[in-house]
Amino acid sequence: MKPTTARDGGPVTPEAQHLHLSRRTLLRHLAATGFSGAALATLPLVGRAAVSAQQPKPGGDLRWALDMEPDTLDPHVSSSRYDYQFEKEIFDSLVVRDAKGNVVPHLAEKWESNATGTEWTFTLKQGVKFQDGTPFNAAAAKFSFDRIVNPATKSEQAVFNLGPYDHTEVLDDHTIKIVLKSTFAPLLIGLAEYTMGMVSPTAVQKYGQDFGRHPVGTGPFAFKEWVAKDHITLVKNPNYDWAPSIFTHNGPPYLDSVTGRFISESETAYAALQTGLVDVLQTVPDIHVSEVKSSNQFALLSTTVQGFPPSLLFNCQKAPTDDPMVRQALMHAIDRNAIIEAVYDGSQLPAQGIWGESSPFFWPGSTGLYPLDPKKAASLLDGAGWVKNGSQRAKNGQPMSLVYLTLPGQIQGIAEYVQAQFKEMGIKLDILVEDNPAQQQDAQKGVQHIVWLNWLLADPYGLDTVFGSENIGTGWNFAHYKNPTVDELLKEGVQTLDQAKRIQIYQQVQKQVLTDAACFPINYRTRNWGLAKKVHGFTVGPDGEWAHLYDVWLS
Amino acid sequence: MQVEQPLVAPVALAEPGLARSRSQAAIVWGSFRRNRGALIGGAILLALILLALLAPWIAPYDPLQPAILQRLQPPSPNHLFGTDQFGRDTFSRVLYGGRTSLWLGLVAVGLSVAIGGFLGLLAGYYRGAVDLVVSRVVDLMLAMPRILLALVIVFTLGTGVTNVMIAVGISGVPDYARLIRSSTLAAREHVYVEAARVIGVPNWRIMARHILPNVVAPLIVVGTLGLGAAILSAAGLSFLGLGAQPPVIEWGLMLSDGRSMLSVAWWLTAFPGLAIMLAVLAVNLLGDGLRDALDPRLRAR
Amino acid sequence: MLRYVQLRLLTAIPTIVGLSLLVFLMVHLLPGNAVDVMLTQQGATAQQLQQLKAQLGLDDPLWVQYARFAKDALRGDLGRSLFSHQPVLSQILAQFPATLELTLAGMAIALLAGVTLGVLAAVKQNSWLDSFSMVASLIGVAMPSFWLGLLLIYLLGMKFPVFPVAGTAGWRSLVLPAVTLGFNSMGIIARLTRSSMLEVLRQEYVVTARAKGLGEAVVMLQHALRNAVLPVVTMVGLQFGYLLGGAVIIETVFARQGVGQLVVTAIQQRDGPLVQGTVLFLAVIFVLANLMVDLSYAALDPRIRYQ
Repeated sequence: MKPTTARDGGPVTPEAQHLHLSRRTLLRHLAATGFSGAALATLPLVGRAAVSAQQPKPGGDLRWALDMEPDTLDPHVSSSRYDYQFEKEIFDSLVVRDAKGNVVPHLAEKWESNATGTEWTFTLKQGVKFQDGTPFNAAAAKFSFDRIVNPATKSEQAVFNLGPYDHTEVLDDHTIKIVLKSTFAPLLIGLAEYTMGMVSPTAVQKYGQDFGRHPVGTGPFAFKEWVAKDHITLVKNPNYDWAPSIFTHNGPPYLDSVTGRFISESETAYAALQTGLVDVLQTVPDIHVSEVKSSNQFALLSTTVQGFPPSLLFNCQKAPTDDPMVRQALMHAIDRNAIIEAVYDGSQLPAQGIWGESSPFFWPGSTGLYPLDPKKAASLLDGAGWVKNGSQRAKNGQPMSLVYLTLPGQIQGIAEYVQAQFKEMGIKLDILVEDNPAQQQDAQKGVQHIVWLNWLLADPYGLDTVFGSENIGTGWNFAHYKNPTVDELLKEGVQTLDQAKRIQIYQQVQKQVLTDAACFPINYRTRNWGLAKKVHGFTVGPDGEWAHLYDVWLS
Repeated sequence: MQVEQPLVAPVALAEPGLARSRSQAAIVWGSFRRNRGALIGGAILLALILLALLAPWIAPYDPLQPAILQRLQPPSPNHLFGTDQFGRDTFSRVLYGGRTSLWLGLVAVGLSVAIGGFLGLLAGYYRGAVDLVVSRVVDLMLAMPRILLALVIVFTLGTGVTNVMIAVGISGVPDYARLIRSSTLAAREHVYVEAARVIGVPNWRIMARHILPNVVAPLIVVGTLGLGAAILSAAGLSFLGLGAQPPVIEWGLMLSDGRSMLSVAWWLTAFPGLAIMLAVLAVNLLGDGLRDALDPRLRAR
Repeated sequence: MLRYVQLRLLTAIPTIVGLSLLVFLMVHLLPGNAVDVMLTQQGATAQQLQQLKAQLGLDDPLWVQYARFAKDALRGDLGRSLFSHQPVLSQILAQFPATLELTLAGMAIALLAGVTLGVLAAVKQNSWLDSFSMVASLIGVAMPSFWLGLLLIYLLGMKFPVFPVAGTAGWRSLVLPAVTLGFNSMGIIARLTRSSMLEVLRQEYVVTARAKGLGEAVVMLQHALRNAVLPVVTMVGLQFGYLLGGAVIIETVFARQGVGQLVVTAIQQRDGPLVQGTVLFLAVIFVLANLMVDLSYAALDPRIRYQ
């Protein structure tokens, strides 16, 4: 019943990519130096949205610090996100997703399916070669797909993207037909995954079991070396000529090489960025985020990571939070930004709704739904009968007392903060700290009024687990939320294949859930990248987790 | 000597030894008192032990209670040693940590002494095959860097305070085994031991009455110095994440936790580390003092 | 001399064999179903578990497993890591040079600083220099290496960025770790050198040399030091094991490459074959190093050879 938190990967949801730096630094510099071409040229420009007065320069080695070492570089076997970062540069898939999450052509130029969605015909791009010279063609594509489903490969993630795969037919040198045993709507999205990279049959035959240490694909960067526990080096693929439309240029990448160093200790990694040992830091420690934000030498790139935003769920079946007016009042009393500042050192991006602005599922109504407004909160509470009697609010002689259930650790800080804020409103909040599984069990029982929830939601269909009424007491419906309209919508959403319809459905769900005040999102899980001034064109994919190195250049 | 009174004879034989050790104690104490280092060491150690024992009463805060909004505060009158990333008071944690770290060291050394001493006693007394086996095993254990031995034992048993005690304890066995063995070998040669055996005094009694008193002195010295090494080893293992586990508070573990905040919160690593150093320093000074006080007496016999 | 060498080599072999048995037993005597836990962490089902165990030969009697392990080890095959599936020996050999570099550097610092301090303390006995060096060695012995390492990182890596905070690249990244590693041994060597030097200085031949009118420096270096250093050489052998073990912690503190951090990671990940291989390797290195020290000691002091 508990939804599987995908270890990594799984279908990717587009998320917002916020360019903290370009807006802020731009404004600051404009204010300080006046608008001039020279000022613009000195800005550490990051991302496509920023205006660049400089032209991309080829050459250079990009060095960056990663938290962990990959397990393998064989995409068909991989299941760790640390593998994907390199695999996406070494390998290409048939299709790829753009910033909005739509599937666009890559190694496949066009495709069509039959009416039942059991046969998919792909026309492959011509003139594509693997890094070892082997031509990429229909036979090679078939080789890759068959390899994925072959039990000997022991695929841990890729195989799920093919679903009820039956076989592939080679129609001609550049056309293949994938035949499925039954309808599988997510096939196209699945094919865009980094685990679905096309591998060189020659190399697989040559290296066999060790292919993961000697990967060969068609991607913009070729594998050079992997020194265990130290670094992985990729070099430019000079023949690369088939970049998908999501990038700003075609042809070989600007960078000569990329060296990824594995530094798991956070202070060490941060020092590596500071001292110039690396140019990119994958995760800036929370305590240093503000330093990097305000630094002249470095730029901060904040991206949101896929998933249900860490939120507070309000118990809709336990008094006094069973009264929607009370819930709404409480939400107006919580200062999101202050919590992020106090608990996360301001390193997280505040959430508005369940999905952020750049996601197709974003519901515009979620912005500014419950702004911090203590006066409004007070009047709502008064209206609901909870009147302040001295310093405590009470109704019918009962003082207002709530229970907040939390896991231990950093997030306890949220409970503390809310406790302090509610105290000012005259509400007594008791904090109950429990570890799993006790915490989960109690939340399912509903001993609390407020509980914090966070998980890797791959696709909106998982909302069912959090807001579907049949999951009260057994799933993650800690809000004990029961709304027949929402239940209907959620059922519909799982069965609908039409993306536009799905968007509509889930926006409706959000509208219901948020106006019913069952859920108060606090922040989007944010990944903070630290970039040296000389790094340009560094972007992060819609998943918020992995960087695109193809357009990167160094000044 | 009357054969019919075996119970009396050994006592009578041991009498000179016991008498000697009684006056010895007085001489040792006198010499010890004059050794400044030993006194300082002893005083510091006593203070640390007292602080650790009284921690539940002197600690100003609950060492496990987080206060996220108060986190990463530098030392202040409110928080003598500052707070950590969860807002917990470092001073209270150092006090409680002492309970774990000192106790860990003590039990580990105790284990080393008990097991090593026992093995050494057997090897030195019985000699022959027993000695051969014990010596080979001890040599084998010595053929490996000590921390490696402890690490492998932790791998086998798992992490946690008890297992660290066992691991550090066992890795310290060779030192005491050798020491007791050579002391036993020497003590064994004494006339009254031979005599006791001739009479038919049971071996264990001989070992307890005649051998042990002679090995106690070097044992105390080496044991005291070994306590320092044991504390360091246990803290080291915890630092690596292979020893005490949260929520247990231990000085080495505190160092490991504080490391990820090193550049913004130096106090998280400074104070627990200082505590470890003080404890080991105190123990070493004490041990040195004991050695100076005891050894000349032994050599003079 | 040759006979002595042969003798010592001969005794080293049973030690190594014994060690391999010891390490093997400790790794395989995992309590209860710990092996199962280790394998299930890889995500194996009950059936796969049975298959895997048969494949890895884990359901054979222990002595059969040991024989297989020993046989493979002699051929240079120490198995494959449970996690990375890479051969254990090649992983170790790739990491070893960094550890060797660190250990030797630490030893060098310990010797140089220790001997210098000890000699100075002995020569200027009871002066402030004497007290200072004695206090320094006391602190050196009592200070936890991982604490010293963190202090140095903070002071000389972060506050005043003189040295790199971590990593294995370049000679500069060797300085702080080597100093940290050698600090403890330095304390011990200083004290030993001091007492040994004091002994030697009282000897007759020193008095004689002085009486002959030889310059103080000559007396020191040629006569006194050479003899005072002998016990230190033995100590070096003992210290090498300590330093090798210390490298385990230092490599973790400074995020350096090396066999030490390999062992720690292997234990954290419960990677049996890797733990077995690395511990055995380090132990063998230790035995060989001790052997070399013994041999060099015998070369220096003829009396040893004829024991």
